[in-house]
Parts: sequence; C-alpha cells; structure tokens
Amino acid sequence: MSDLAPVLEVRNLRTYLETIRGRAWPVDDVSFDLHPGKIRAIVGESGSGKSITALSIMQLLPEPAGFIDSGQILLEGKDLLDLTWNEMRQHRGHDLAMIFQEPMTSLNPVFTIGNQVAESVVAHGGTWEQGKKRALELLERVGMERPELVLRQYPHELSGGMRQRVMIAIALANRPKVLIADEPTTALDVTVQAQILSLMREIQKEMGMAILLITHDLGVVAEMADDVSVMYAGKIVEDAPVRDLFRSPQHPYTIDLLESLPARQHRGQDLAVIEGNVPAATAWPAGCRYANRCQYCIPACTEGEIPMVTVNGVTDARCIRIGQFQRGGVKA
Amino acid sequence: MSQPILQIEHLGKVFGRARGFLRKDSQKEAVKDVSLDVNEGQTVALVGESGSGKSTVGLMALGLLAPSSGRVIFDGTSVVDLGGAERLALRRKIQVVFQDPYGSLNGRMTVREALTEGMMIHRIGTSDADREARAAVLLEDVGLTPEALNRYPHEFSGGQRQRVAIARALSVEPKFIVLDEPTSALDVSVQSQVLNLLRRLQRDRGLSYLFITHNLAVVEYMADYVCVMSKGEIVERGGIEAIFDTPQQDYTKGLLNSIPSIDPEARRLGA
Amino acid sequence: MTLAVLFSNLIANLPVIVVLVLVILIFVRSRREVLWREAYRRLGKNNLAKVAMGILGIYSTLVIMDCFSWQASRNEEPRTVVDAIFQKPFERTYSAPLAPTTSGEVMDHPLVSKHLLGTDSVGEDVVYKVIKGMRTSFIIGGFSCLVAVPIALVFGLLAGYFGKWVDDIVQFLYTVFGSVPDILLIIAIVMMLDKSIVYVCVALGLTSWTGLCRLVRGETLKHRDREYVRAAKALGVSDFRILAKHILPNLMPSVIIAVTLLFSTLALYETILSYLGVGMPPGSGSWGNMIDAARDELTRNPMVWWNLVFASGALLLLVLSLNVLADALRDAIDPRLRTQ
Repeated sequence: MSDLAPVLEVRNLRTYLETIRGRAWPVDDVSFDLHPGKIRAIVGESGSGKSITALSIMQLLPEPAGFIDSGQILLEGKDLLDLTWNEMRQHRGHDLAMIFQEPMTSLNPVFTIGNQVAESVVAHGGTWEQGKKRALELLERVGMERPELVLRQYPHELSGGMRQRVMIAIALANRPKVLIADEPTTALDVTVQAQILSLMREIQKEMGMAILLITHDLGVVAEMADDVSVMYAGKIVEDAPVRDLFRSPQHPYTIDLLESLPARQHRGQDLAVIEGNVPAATAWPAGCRYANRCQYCIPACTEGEIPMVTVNGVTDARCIRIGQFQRGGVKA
Repeated sequence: MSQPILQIEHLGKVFGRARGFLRKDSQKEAVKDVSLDVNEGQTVALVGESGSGKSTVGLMALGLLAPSSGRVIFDGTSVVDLGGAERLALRRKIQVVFQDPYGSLNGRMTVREALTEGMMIHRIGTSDADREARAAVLLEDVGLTPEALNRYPHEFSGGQRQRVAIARALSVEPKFIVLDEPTSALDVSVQSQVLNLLRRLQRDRGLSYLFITHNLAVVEYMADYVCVMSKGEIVERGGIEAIFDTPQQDYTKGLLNSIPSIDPEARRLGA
Repeated sequence: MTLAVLFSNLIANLPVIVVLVLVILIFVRSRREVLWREAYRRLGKNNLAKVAMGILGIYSTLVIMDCFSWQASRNEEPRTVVDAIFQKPFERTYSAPLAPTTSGEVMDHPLVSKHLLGTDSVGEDVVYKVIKGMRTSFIIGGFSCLVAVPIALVFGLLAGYFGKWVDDIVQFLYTVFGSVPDILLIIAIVMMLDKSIVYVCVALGLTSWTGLCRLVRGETLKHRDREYVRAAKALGVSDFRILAKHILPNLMPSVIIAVTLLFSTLALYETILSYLGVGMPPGSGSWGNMIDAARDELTRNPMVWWNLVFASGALLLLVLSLNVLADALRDAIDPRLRTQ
C-alpha cells in the first residue's frame, strides 16, 4: 500500500433511491481509500451500485429520488457531506472531477469545444483570457492533433474518442486531486479505448492525481488499476491489489466472474456460469448477498452480517468460508 | 459440414440517394466487395469496429436490405430477387438475434405473442393450443419456464430477454441465424450463459451462425472461421490460430494489441 | 318510446356514442397492460388530474343524458333526459341569476320559478342552455376527431414506415394544408356546403389532422428502424401487420395525449366559428351562439353578463380539464420515469 495518506476516504457510505417499488439501497455500507497517484477500480456488473457510488461521491445523485443516508466522504480529511451545496460546487470540477461513459451527451452541442473547456477554468475563478489559453494547452495535452482548430469546432464534428479526450481535458482543467471515471471507454471501440486508457495513465503519472475507475470490464481493470474493489449487490465483496485479485481471487463471486470469461483454452467446453439473479435492491436478503448463486453456500451464509476478513495480508473479502477455495474449485 | 449454406459474393452497399428533387448528392459506400462462405454447422465471425460495415453485411445476408451490387446465395438460391412465396420460405430458414435485448422485443407484446407470431405466418402448428405448447417447449429449451408466456418483455432481465429473442428466432425452425452482437449488452456472467446456450443449440439443431461482433475474446471462444472487416472491406480472414497467432495485416495486429489483457502482469498500455 | 325513435336517436348521436365507446374500449383494454396500469397508478396520485377527470365525468354524464330522447305523444317535440330534468318554464325575457324579477323591461315582472344562472333574451334558463351546449361541443370535438384521427394515423404511419415517395406526398399534403389559414378554409368549406353540424365537423377534421400526422410520422420513423421491427421483418411478418400490431400499439400513448389536446382545441373552435356566424345553426344549443349573442347583451342597461360568463366558464372548464388531463397523462407515461 501507499505510504502517503489517502486523498479520498469513503467510510460506510449508504445511499438510497426512492423508486416506485419502494426504497432501494444500491450502495449499502461501502468503504475504501484512494491514495494519491494510484488508480482504484470499482468493478461490478449492472445493478452492483458502482455508478451510484461514484455519483454519491460527486453528490450528483438523480434528483429528486436519490439521497445519501449515512457515512463519510473525506477529501483530504474534510467530510464532503458536511458541506453546503455551494461549497460542494466549488470542489466539483476543482479537486474532484468526473468523466462519464457517454461522450456524445456529456458535451453541450451548441457551444464550441474551446468555449466548454475554457468555461471549466472560468467557473473556478479564472478569466476568459486565461481559460482560452489553458484550453489550448489542455487540448494539446490530451493528444489533439490541431488544438487551435478543435477550439472552434462543435461536438458533433468530433468522433467519440475525440469527444472523450475533450471530456478529459475539461476534467483536467483545474488539476483535480481525484478524477472519477465512470465507464470512460465503454462506448468506444477497442483501438480507441486503448488510446484513451494510455492517455489517462500518462496524465495520471504526470499530474500525480488519483483515479477512481468505475468499470464492468475486467480487462480494463487488469490493464489500469493498482487496487481493485469488487462490488456486488451494493457491497464491496473483495478488495485487493490488482495482481493478487487476478492471481488468487478469494471471494466466490470474483472467482466465478473470472471463470466465466470466454477464452481460447475453453473452446469446445461450456463456460462457467453464475445462475440466478442479483437480489432486488429494495429488499436485500440477510447474510451474504451472493448466497443464492454461490456454489459454496452453507446455511450459516444466510445469517447475520458477513464481516470483511483479511487473507494473505493484502486481500479483504466478505465471505465466511474465505480461504477454503480458489480458482478451479475447493482447496485440497 | 463442408457444404456452404450461405455464400456471399462480391457484396456492395452504397447508402444515400444519388440525386433527387431538391436533394444534394450524398452517397456513402458502406460495404465494398465482400465475399464469404458459411458452411453448414459452422460459426463464422465477422469482426470489426463501429462503422466497419459488419452489421450492414448481416442485414443483407438476411435479405432485409437490398445490396447495391453482388449476390447472397442461401442454400443454392439467390436471396436478392425472390418472389412472395419464395421470400416467405426464405424467412423461415434465416433468422436473426440482435444486440439490444431492450429494443429487439416489442414492449407491447407478451412472450406468447412474440413466439407464436412467426409460427402463425409460416403455418407451423395445427392450432393455437398447439403453437402455445410449442412456444412453451421453446422457452424450456432456452432455459426459461413456460410461465414466462404471459409476461411482457420489461418483466425480464437483459439476459432473459436475450433468451426470449433467441427462442423467437428458433420459433420458425431456421437453419441459419445471424447473431448481431448478441452478448455485447450483457454482463459477463450472463454472457457466458448465452454463449453456452448458443453453442448447445448449434450442436442439437445443426445451426449455422454468422456471428457479428467487436468482442475478440468471444470470437476466440466461439468461431470456426474469422473475417476481419475495416471500412467496408474484409482485410483479413482465416482460422482462429491464423488470425490470433499469426496475423498478417497491420490492422488486425493493431486490433489484437488493443485488447486489454486479463493478466495484470502482461500490461500493454502506457505503463 | 318506440324502437324507431330510439334508433333515430342513436343515428343522430352516433359520433358521441362512438367516441364514448372508443374511450371505454381503450380504457378497458389498456388496464390489462402493465405500462398503463403503472400510468393509472401514478395518475391516481395526481389530485389535479383527479379533479379534471371528475369534471369530465360530470360533463360526459350530462352529454349522455342529453343523447336519449322520447316523444310523449305524436305531435310533441322529442324530449331528452336533460330536457326532463333541467328544462324550466320560460320567463318573459332576461333575468339576473337568482333574481326575483326580470330585468331590462320597462316594468320588471316577477318570475315563474327560480333560475340559478338567470335567463336569456327569450326567457330560457341559462343552466339548461349551458348543459345543452355541452352536447354540441362533444359532438363537434368527437366527430371532428373521428374525421381527423384516421387520416392522421394512416398518412403518418404510411409516410413514416415506407418513406421515399410516399413520405414526399404526405409531407407535401400536410405542409400545404398546414399553410392555409384554418379559419378561412373552414369558413370556405362551410359556406360552400351548408351550415350544418356535419359539415362543420368535416371542415374541422380536414384542417386539424396535420399536427397529429406530423407526430405519428415522426414516431413511426423512430420505431421503423428499431430492432424489434427488423426482427419481425426477418420472421416474415407483413408490412401491414408490422404497422398494425407492432408499431401502432407503441405509438398509442403519444397519440392518446395528442388526441386529448386535439379534442379540446376542436371544442374551442366550435365556439369561435359560431361566434363568427359560420358554426352551429341558430337555435341549437351552443356556447358559441350564446357568446355571440353577448355582443348585444353587454351594451344593454342593466348589463346582461351572465350568458357570456357562464357559457365561457363552461367552455374554459372543459378545455382546462382536458389540458390538465393530457399533461397528467404525459407525466404518468413519461418514458424517463418508466422502470426498465
């Protein structure tokens, strides 16, 4: 782990959404640390609550249905949940920046690229002069070939990859300490994804910021992350350094997820599957939330709160039978 | 095996009108001179990035889009210029499963209606009750329970909807299915279920697949033969080993190098 | 009451009956669908919408009551249920609401009975006249919708689905119809044919389909390239069946909202036309005619305001209720709130 103090600490975060089926808890007691200069991935499938976690940190939950119930979000030791809306607005886009999955809709179609990049500087106390100058630098930095031309272009004139570069430029405008990237490459082709991921890594090294990478793609996690939190049904079920997670996954869900990936060596055989569905976020079951789909489930799994247990000194997993199995089956 | 069931010969598609009343000339060549064969019982993957024209080839193979040039021959007959009855007969033999499990089912139709509609058109089954019984069997075949018959698409998860879409394609007992990104919108754990299902159905029913996708890991697992498309053309073709182990074209090499490795020890990007 | 009379009644009120049956059918049919059940549930939580539905319910009940009539004897005028309940003996002339005597005469005379909203120039009860006007509004709104909606649906679906030259023709048609001033076209049609309720409805129908047609065409265009339509084509489903069974049901929510608004616009148009003297023939109960008569009444001394106020009020309440309901329906079936 890093020696530096974490720049972002999330403690026991619980978030709920009011839905027509009742109150849903997509984020239910989530904690993690993000260290400066590191990339932490939150990986999970749809319905795991990973995106709501990101939106909770930014306090951009869907209006009027989303609320943070309890917990702490500490940015350099200061709890963001104690701030007023206005104080929070000053952090957003300044210390905390976010990029989204959909580079098509994240940009306003009626303003030029230059205008939108410059605005993020102006919004935090710069002049338009400074903004324009900084916009040119930023567009150059994110690998635009002719930045002075791009400044005058409109979003629809750019490809998806180029738009995502613009989004990154906007996010970087005020040298944020933390960048939250919510599925930043999901809408892009693989070759473009590779370019964007390389760019993010380069910039992260150069500026020393921390990145919280929200994704469903285990390949992206393996390429990018230093630490990984695996989320399932509103909880982090496994938390480990990236090498340990892929070499010796501990939680049955992580193991099953890795086993279900298609690969050449499985040709001609059935892939491992995870039967059943994620339980409803309006009524989480007692005990382990993966119990109904887990091949190692025992009666004790469905009773009481399942604590995080540390194994091998580095991996935390939320499973009472931890250490009794590995990839490929039960340990001998 | 070995007998080609679908032959695509020098297929081309130009979109847009040449000129018209008060219209400017705006043409785009989406597919250029594409040829490929699919043998019986085989899975041929058509791989490419967005805008490569792979889905357009799929629509032309289905006969849903008229090619600008070239031919599609299915089971010995040309798909392009068929009369009413022959056209309907062809519809029974080639089916399709699309990417988006939310958009590919009509939200206002129950599963029963979706599954029996094709049977009715092709006069499969003797009565409504018989067709319903067949629909129930189909549902069990794709891993759903017959209770699903009375439900609407939005009551299902993405993976379950994709199973319904597969059952609908199977409802007219086709020989050939065009799979247009069938797992791209699904979670990995669900993707593996759908891939297993597709492989089992292929084995049991002797189906042939044209598998259109951008996901190279799925191709490596599923396909017998791979065609890599870029900008409307097939740039490279071959078996799994030829494409993945010894790619010849720069485009293919670039594509393969862009796939994130699942092994953190073997990082390729940036670091 | 003989069967023949009942039958002729049905014919005369066909538009109203067809519209009501359609509304009931849509309601019953849609209750079976989950999407609509959710929408009704949300609608039930909207108090304003409930008030609007209540008002529309009262209006509809009164209109239905006014649609059934019988002859007491051979030489008498047929009387409807409304006539039996609300018709009061005639006074000599105007009287203010709840006034004890007539007004505006050289010597005011005591009234025969009490009139909640006063009486008009020939001494007829205003409550009764306002209620009689409802049926006219509903017939005009309903019958014009029956003319406009099929045209709009057929043209819109065909244009959106087939595109190319079909679309060119339909677009040309609705652009041309849309660019002629409505009122002038309606006046021309009515003057050319006859000043009867049927021709007014035809004229209104022919001028009001363009907006709905544009909406249907756009929505069809959107659905045409959806994967479920492609999958249906791949199954061999005919174009007609795709339009009727696949695309049309998916358009119904937006069409119903648009038709609700169209109905209220048409009811409003009836008043405007009658006011201009090209609407309903004089003598038939019509809010437009009442408002038209107010031109003179407002200059009388003492001023006769009640005809104008209550006719306009009844119209306002109808149009407002329909608009509130349309808005509430839109919120209730808004796709953004739909759970996937």
